[in-house]
Amino acid sequence: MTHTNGEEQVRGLARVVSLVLRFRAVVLILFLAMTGFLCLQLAHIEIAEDPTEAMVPSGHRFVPALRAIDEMGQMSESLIGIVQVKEGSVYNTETVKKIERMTRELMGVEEFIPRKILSLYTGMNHYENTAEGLMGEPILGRITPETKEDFRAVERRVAVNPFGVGHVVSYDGTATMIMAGIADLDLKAETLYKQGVDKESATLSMEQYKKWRIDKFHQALLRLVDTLKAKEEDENHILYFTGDRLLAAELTSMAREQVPVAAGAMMLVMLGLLAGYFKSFRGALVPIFAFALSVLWGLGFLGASKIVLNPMAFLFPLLLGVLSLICSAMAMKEYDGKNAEEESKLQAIVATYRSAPVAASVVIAGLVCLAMLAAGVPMIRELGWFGLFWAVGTFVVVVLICPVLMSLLPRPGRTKGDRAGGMFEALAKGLTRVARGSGRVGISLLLALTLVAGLVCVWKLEVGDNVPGPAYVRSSHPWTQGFDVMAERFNGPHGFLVHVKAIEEGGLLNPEAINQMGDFSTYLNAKGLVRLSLAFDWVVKLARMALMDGNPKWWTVPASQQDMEGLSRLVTFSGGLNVMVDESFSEATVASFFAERETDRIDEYASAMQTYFDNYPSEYIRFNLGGGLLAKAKAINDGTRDDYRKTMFLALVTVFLVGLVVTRSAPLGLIVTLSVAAGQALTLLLMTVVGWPVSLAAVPAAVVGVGFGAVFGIYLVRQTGGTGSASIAPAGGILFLGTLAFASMAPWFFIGMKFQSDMAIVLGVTALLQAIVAVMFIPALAGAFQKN
Amino acid sequence: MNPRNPSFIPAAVLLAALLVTAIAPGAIRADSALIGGSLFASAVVSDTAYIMVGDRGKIFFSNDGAKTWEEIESGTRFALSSVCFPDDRNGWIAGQMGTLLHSQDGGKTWQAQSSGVDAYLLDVDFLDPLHGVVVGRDTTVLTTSDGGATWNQSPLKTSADLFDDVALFAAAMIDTRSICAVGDMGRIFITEDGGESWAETKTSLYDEMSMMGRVLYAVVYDSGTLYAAGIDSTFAFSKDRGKSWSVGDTGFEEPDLFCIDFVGEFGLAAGSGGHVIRTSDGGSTWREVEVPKKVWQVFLSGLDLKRNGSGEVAGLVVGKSGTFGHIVDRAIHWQWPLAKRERVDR
Repeated sequence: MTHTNGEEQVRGLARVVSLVLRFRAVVLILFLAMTGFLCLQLAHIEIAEDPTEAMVPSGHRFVPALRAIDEMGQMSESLIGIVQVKEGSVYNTETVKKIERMTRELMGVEEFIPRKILSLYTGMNHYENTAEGLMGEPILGRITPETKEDFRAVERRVAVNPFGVGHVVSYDGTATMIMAGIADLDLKAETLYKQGVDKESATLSMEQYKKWRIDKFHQALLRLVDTLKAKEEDENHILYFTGDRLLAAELTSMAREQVPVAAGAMMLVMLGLLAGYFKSFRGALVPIFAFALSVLWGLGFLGASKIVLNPMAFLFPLLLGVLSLICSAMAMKEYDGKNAEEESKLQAIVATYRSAPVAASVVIAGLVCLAMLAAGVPMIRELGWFGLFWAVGTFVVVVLICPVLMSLLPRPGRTKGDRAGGMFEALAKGLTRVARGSGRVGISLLLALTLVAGLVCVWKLEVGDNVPGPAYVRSSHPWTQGFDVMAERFNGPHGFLVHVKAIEEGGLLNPEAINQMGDFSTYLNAKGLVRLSLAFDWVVKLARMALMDGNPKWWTVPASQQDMEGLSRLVTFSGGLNVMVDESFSEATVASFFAERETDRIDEYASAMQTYFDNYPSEYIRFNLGGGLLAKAKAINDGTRDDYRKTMFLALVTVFLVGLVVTRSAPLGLIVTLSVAAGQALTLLLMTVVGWPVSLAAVPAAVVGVGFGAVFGIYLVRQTGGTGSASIAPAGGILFLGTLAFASMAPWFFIGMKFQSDMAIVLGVTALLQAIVAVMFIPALAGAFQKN
Repeated sequence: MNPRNPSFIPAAVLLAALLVTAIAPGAIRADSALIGGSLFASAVVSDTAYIMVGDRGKIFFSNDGAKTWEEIESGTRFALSSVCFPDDRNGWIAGQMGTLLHSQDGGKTWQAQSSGVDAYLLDVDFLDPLHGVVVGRDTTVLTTSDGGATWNQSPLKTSADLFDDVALFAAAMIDTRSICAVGDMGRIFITEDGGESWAETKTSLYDEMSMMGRVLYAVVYDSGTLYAAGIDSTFAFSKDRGKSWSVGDTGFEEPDLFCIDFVGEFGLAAGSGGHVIRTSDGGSTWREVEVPKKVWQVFLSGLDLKRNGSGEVAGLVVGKSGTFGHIVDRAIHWQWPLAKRERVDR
């Protein structure tokens, strides 16, 4: 084993550190100037408005249909309120009165559009063919129902109403929904700003005013939901609220309340552990300084680069910051040791950077992050760019500025070892003991087994938890509970849309084309796959039957193109159907709603639909899968699967190549790579065992996890040659750093924002496992290699 | 088309728009029916053979007492609205664009017949394998006396009037020369010369002054009585071959009755919201048949009853989203997936 070239690199770095220390004033001024500039750039960070959009892989086969459907028209936002009855059905006076009161309350909120509020109380008329023509009246009748017979009549009316069963009333009749359409908040804020109705419109810019106004509505919405729950919930009624806008309000509120607490707890944990380990405030200060500044620099570069930050990934910079903290703590640990050996403080600092592979660690972690640039999911690619910015910032902070900071702080005491370090060293001793003698064979076998199991897990990768909405907040959160009630008892939010394009312009005026869309809906219904499938043929049939005296035999599409054209133009004349069919009758959608959202079920739905398209090709239209919540979830699932495999492979190749360069030894590079791979495999095995699928949030966390593993591995190999008793102290250090990473991220495990929490858990667990695996495997394998 | 209430259209559009733009659109759940499309009519061919017809040219045939079904090639994709079997071999189906199909093997195979029109034919009735009538859109009336080899257009004329654009929804053969046709606004027409001339029967169902009336969707002739059913649970009968009519009281107001049939004194009528009512006294009194709540969500548009070899009443009622009920000995067994059966009422 030779370290000659590696040592040359380290000596080169030591020269750089010497130079920095000599001109530290200049370096500090330059650094502060750059930091100031980057602070200014923070204001330019662009936050993505639609977090889901960047989660869909750009090359996914659904993307063209997703875009085409978006272009046809945007879905309006709604607040969904559900009143669930514990005993009996919703057809009773008490429940109906509740619905009336709640509907009236919503009607009083200016952001809700009264004509877009739908409940048993309003918006769903009962139409009836009578001798006098088609008559409509409220679904509850003109007089509030009171008797059992009255309610039975209401139940029958609900059954035939297009908004009835599955929509406003659950299939089992035990829950009823209020759907309140929300006005375009941007447009409303813009109007109010121009009218100058409040003092903020005079002091804020238009964009600031919009944000302020929307935020105000979010807070009002949360209060409204709480008030309604407090007023209307009783021993027989449970209330649930869900919907897109409420989700945004909940996430904003959680971010406001929980992020400062979790961030504060994270800082306290880091401070406490570092101070305990180094037994000095100084030992904690430098790593925390490195953490904060690396995050700031990374975000500053992000602001300057105009790369959009997905709000779902806001935790990622902090998680990478933990890696900076680890690199810096590694240097501090080395500094403690060198301090006892070297005469002067500056000599100790230079010696620290001569022996500790700090720069190599930062470089390898940065390069590993670059693997994310190969991802198909735009959000992951954006995080890859952030990783690059972070690496630059961390290199500057940890390699150039931390030595300056160390030099400015008082010198630590010149004693070696401490109680905390001793505890981790004792643990390391235990773990590395098995690496000696015949234990090496066992360890090698265990490594091989872990790798094989990991490969199987990657091959059969279980992905999931990617449905926009439920993937963002915990399942125990009231919003998700409402979403689940909607999914279980109503038609539900699990839409899977198909984009239909006529082969000829205006081809959807051909009756056969419309009928073929209807055939597809019928197929899904007949297969029992779908709760509801709806296409333009439904509107045509509804109108045609109504026009022909309500005779059900007219529940057909006209046979002639002329009739079809007349009817189509009639039903689309007043607008509002553009999501279903476009004005030129060349594009349409078939909206299907499914009961479940598990990954394999979504795959099954998509496969069944695609099979239909393949088996029944049309000469008039082309079907393309791609819209709705489940299509997005499927695309994100596919993206997660592909990107996990792709980024892991590239990250491990990077680890091997950089390990090769740093150690100048292919076997050692391979040992580090195998150790990192085993760490990832263990995480994946753990997730498989507990039934936790790999979500999109786990992909960047896994990549950074490789970074942690690489840093630990390189450190162990470089510091000790990776074997023998010499490895115990560094191994103890690695165990401490793994524990530090895990504990620093632990406060984020408990926040309500599921996406961020998942990211933190995966990374925290991976960091800890990487440390344990490195300590167990690297000495054993390196020892075996050395022996040979 | 007869846009009686065009103001409904914007409402329908709004309904549909809200439905598709909502976070959780909802409508009638086409409850996993294996035969998913809408069914418009049914016929009991024999003790074991049953036929259902519907949208998209669908014909479903059962030869084991409605236990299992097979789809029969119709040769058309046009909607099939009506089916009639005057005996256990000969049957006719009418449908969109003047579609007429004839079977000579009890419904197993079907051949197209030329109707000579392209109107939507809404009802077909045959007295015997030779004499039949078809009615439909735009006052279309076709008669045959040679088993459909030739169909004659029988303009709906009375001595005084030419009835433009009266949609005829149903017709019943009384004898080889007498036919009753009913339809839009509750108007009833009778011919006694095989369709050469028609007379309109004055009833309380149609108000000539206001030109408004109670739409009749179905008419049948059984044991010397004509029975008609229509909007708002309208039920009317005539015991003198359609010359005079009595309006009966079903006891219901809201549901529309889209189909009706009698076997002796026993009769069933079905319609909107899955309503089924029955009588055992020739229509004097009616009572509601309990149906599963799933059936409430669909319309029932076709019904046929026959007395089988053992003297029991057998039949088939069909409707939207492939819903159908097999009537055996006056009880209805509702079916969605063919494997599941539900006995509801006796």
